[in-house]
Amino acid sequence: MIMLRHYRLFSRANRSIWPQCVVAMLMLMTSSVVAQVKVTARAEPSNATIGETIVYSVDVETEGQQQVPQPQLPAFDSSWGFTPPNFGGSSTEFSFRQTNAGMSQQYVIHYHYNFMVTKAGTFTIPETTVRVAGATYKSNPVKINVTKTHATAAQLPAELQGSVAPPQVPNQPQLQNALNGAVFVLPIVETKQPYAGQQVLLGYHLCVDKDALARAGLVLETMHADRVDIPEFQQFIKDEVYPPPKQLQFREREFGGKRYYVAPLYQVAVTPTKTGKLSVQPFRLSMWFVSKNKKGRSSDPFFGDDIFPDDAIFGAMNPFMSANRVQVIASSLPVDFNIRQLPTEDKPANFSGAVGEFKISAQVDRREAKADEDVVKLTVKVEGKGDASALPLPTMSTMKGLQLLEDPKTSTNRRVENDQLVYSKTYDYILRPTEPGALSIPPLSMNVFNPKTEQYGVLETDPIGLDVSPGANKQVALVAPAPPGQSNAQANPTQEGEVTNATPETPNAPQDLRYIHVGTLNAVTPGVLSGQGPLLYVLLATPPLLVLAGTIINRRRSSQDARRGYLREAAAGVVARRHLKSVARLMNSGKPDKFFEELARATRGFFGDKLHLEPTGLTIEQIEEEYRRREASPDDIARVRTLLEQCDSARYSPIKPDQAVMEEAYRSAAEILSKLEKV
Amino acid sequence: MVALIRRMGVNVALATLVFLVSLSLRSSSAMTMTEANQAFNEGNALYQQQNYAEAYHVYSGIVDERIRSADLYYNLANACARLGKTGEAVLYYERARSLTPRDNDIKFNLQKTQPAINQHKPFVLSVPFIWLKNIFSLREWMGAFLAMFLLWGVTHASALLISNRFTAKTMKAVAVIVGVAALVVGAFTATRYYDHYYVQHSVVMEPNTSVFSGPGEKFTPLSTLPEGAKIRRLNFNDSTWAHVTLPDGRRGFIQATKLQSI
Repeated sequence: MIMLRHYRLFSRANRSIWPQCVVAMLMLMTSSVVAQVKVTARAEPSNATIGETIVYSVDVETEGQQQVPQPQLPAFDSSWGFTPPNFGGSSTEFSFRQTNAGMSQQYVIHYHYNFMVTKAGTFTIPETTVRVAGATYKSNPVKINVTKTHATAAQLPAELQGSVAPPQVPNQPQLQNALNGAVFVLPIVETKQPYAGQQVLLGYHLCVDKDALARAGLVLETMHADRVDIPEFQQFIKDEVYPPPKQLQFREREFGGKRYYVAPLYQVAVTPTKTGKLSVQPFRLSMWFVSKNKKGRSSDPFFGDDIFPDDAIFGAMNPFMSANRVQVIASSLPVDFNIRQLPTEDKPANFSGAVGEFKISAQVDRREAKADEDVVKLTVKVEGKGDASALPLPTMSTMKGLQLLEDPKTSTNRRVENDQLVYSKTYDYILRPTEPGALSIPPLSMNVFNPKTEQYGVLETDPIGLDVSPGANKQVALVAPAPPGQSNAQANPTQEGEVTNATPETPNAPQDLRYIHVGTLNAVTPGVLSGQGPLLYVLLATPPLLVLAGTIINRRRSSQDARRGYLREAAAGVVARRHLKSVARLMNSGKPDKFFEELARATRGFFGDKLHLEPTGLTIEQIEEEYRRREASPDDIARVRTLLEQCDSARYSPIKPDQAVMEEAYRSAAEILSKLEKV
Repeated sequence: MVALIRRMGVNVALATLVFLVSLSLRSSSAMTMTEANQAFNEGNALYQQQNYAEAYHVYSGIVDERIRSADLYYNLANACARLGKTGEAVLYYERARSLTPRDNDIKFNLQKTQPAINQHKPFVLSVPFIWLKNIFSLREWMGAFLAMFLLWGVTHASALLISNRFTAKTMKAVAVIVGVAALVVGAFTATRYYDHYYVQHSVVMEPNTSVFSGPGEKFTPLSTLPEGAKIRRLNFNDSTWAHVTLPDGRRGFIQATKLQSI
């Protein structure tokens, strides 16, 4: 009995217990899962050198498979000199573990990030956080020691010591050490102390010691470069000379008595935009070599199998991309510049900032012209090493007998010559000779700073002679040109009482302007048409409001019509019966034509109300059609026809119908109307 | 009682409308139009006497009273051009052009006065759109748009209210046509409005104005602009330096005191 009672209690009444039990079970499960999450962080290598890539891994260990989102990395202090971390992929492994409770499944998800270190020091990366099933977990902090480049890479010549970064060979520290000084990216810069505005050439070259490479078991001919990371050149204006080539062309070159195979990777001309210390981040190149020593697959966390699997396109294209390949990442060191201010000594007052090694030349398209007829095109070209696009207009002194028709058109070009960038800027002047004779285009000049000589200088063209003959179309001046020192008004004095204080026009004022507008001042007031004012909003709101009002009224009207039609239909029977009562009174009036007329009107009125049509003009065919559509009985429909035809014929027949006929017609009408009232 | 309330409501609505209209028509200038006309004629007389400096002062005085007129700006620009003030000339020609974009005198004189750097060719496919947008002033576009929009509202409401089917259908067709036209005109109006109020075009007022790569003279000079060069000013929270886009698309910084907004 007791057991039965308990059973009843459990199964019947307390249904609210069940949801609570489910929730409790879920919480228990979650809490048991929550208790089994472990997050660890590590960095490889933890002792690195400047220019080296660190792989920062976060391992999230869970019992049972869980949805684990990407960890939230801590923010790196900008003073550490770490490049922003790149996500290098993730991998999962699981295993079974025997515990006291039995077998359990252990999942570990590895998240890998990589970044480069560019400054020496000891840095502690704070904890990384991971959220799993609503709970937050933190890893351990990770310490990284960064020292300066290995000063003694035994293979490196003395002149390169301290200016190259060792290569990275992921997961193979021995090979990495062996390749130190054998593979590197060498930045070659014209000068690390340019002046502000001076364009500097910066080139990156891949240098390979073939012998050292061979000793390490790698074959240079199997090299396949797959990724290039070009630095950003922030705070520089950059102009690419050579982009990274599709195929590396190696040439032999000697550094400190040691022979290297050198291939150009990238060349750029940079112009600093500010003075002081500026730095260009490292240039990185990822390469793959076939290793004679290596067997099996390399599992690289960020450039490896996930992106270039053996059966992928790259594997198919390159027969050497086999399981024996080894990845080598070569980086340059950051290139530090110290940008100097231009010297203030001997700086011309009108110096406009042009810096470079330039030369200037000028030429005309014709040496002979007619005054006031022909135009002469003067082309001035400034060419050389430096950013010519920033060059100002050359200074032009007064040209006697020549009129400059418009401001010069400029164009800039550049070309690569012997691995150098040569810029040229061309100015085209359109001149018109206004006086006949032997004229001379005076020299045009420009102040520049030559960073090679470290001096300011003046570029100047040679004067150009023109032979100008008198033209046939001599323009008659409305006002005689003023002699030097006099204004137009002084040279052309007016009558007494007229102009006495005319303002002389300035020499640079454009000629032949159209005259002023006279008359009433048509002022424009700010308002609706200017897009201002509250009235604008009223006008913008009015059309939609009109449409809205129209829609509302239309809808109300439609619903009223529908109601009216419905009421009319609903009252059709009542109205018809009332009408029939008055028709009945005519039965004994002795006027059968009047009787049948009223009977027809009552019948048609009924059908008009039922069918929402006007009774006048309502035809028998319309009534039949409508009732057929309403699926009325065919007999009833036939009787309607008979009745209406009888009414029509009785009205116009010369033989007057008798009382019995009238009574029969009346009865038939009443019957039909009462039947069809329900249809 | 209901009728009284309805009447009061109508009166309130009418009074509000009148108030709003009067607000929008209110003039913000202390100078009356008669005085402005007198001064304008005086300036014209001085110009005719070739007394450009005095004419410049008179015209400037009217402009300072916030009187906006295409003829006033044009005449002032002419006086500036005669006095060699290229920057101001271009500024006032541009202001006159924004009010009467089809005036050939303004176009001609602006062409003569402005430096070559201002004659920048836009992208070829956008030329017809830009031409059409600029052929009418903002006021003209706004007027056309408001008229079409109101017409659309009236025709659409009529189509809904007219009981005659044929007339209603005709009105509906007219409403659709006018509606589409209003949309197109509205798009141009919106672009013009945006250009007028949100895009800050300015004119360089001093010759050989340097453009730097940053907001300061210690930055690298990128270019030198002649007086009268028209540039577009970008948003930048610094009252001393203006971040600008040059006609050839490059960006740089210019001292804000050397610019004046169109």
